[in-house]
Amino acid sequence: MNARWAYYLILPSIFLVLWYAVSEAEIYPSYIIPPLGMVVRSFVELISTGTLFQHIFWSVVRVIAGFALASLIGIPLGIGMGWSNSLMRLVEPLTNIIRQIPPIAWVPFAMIWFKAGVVESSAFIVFIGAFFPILLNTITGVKGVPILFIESAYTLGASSRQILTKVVLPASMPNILSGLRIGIGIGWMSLVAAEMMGQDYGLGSFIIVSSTVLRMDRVVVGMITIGLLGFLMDRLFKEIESSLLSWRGH
Amino acid sequence: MTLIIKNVSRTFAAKGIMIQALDNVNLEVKDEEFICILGPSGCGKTTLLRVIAGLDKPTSGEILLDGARIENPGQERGMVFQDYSLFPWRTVIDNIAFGLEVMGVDREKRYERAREYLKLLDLEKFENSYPYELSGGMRQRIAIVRAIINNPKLLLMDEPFGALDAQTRNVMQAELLRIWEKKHKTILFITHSVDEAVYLADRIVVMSGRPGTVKEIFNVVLPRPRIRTSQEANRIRDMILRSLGSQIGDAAR
Repeated sequence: MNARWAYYLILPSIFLVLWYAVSEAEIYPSYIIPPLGMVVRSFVELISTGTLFQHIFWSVVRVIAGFALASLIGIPLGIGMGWSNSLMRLVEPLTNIIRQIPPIAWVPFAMIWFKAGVVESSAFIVFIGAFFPILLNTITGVKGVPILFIESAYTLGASSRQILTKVVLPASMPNILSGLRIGIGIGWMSLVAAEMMGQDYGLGSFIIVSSTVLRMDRVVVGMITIGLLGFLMDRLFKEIESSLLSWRGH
Repeated sequence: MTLIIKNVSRTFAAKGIMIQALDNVNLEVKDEEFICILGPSGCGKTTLLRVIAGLDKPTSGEILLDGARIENPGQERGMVFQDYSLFPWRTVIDNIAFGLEVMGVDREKRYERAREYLKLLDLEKFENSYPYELSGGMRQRIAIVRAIINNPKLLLMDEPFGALDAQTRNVMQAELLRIWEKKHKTILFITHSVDEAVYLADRIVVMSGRPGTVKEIFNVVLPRPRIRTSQEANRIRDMILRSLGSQIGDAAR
């Protein structure tokens, strides 16, 4: 433990102390600010019964499915749109309108279109959340590839296809990876919206069900779990980024 | 190899204004010749080189390489740019081997060839380094062999040492001559430096200011390695400076 770690812990500690103080003072009823002790007890209970892990499992499955689909479509489409002006003109107006619509607005249709699926309807909402940051960052990356690299490759004998795979793709990788990181973050944030369709399991549905029975302590457990897991995923993506982009050298 | 530049003109349209970069340029380059092109900024030197590389098209006229009209970029014309053009995401060896890779040469063979060139440059220990780990001079040397490994008939160089300090520049010039003599290349080399041109070239082409056209051609018949400060070198430098100077005067009027 060194001074840097101490810095990281200062604000979370203050937050916990304040929370504890407010809980002990009993200023607010427990459904407005659930006491720290109550939340901790629920946390421990949900972990020991394994319920929390079931919720986590289904949420992760849905987010991964939606995110994978968003990457599979978003990256190639982004490369195409960044590379070809005519494809850009063709697709951009439509995507630019659709991306203004929040993922939660798609819930009614997700329920109608994918009613039978445990995963599909929620994955669709996550897909909507993750898709646009991936698409937009990929386009930015491709458009930013220095013309010098492309011309060098041409004079070295590369075909247009080879330039796409051997120059444009690796050169725009920094943007693509940050698009993926932002995409999975927003996909994860769409969880509550994605799981408000009456699923039995999932952190989002756990929050919604708990709130309808006024178990606000459990709502907080769900919120904290989403926050912590999102934080861990973001760290993981940062690690992947810096190891794949070691050629940038800082 | 023979390169014939025939009545080449190039006009650009910028914001509705037509700018003529090249006006009726004619030049014939013989096999294994080292030609330097000098001229004031904006005289179209780079445009000329880009047209020869196939990265740009002439508005009129044509360029013939061994009788065939140049339309597109091709491996038989290597190009070295002024700015650092190594692919930053590739290691040194994968940069050098890029041309062989796109030709479909398998990894073992292309690494073998690339290592020969690394040895020629005495940079073997940087095989797995990334460009950011190298000095500017090293990057340009690698950019040169990356173009040469394709065995081009013609090597086009656009102020390749322009960004380097004077000391490194001199070393690079000597090294380029060494590679040129060893690999028997024909080189078209753009520079701003009269000194560099006199040190390197068999013939020096002086271009006039915009629109660019061939103003004068000087033969440099000094034996190599050349002494930069020799009387003869000074005499040629003086002639070229006069040729360049008269058009600076023109521009001032």
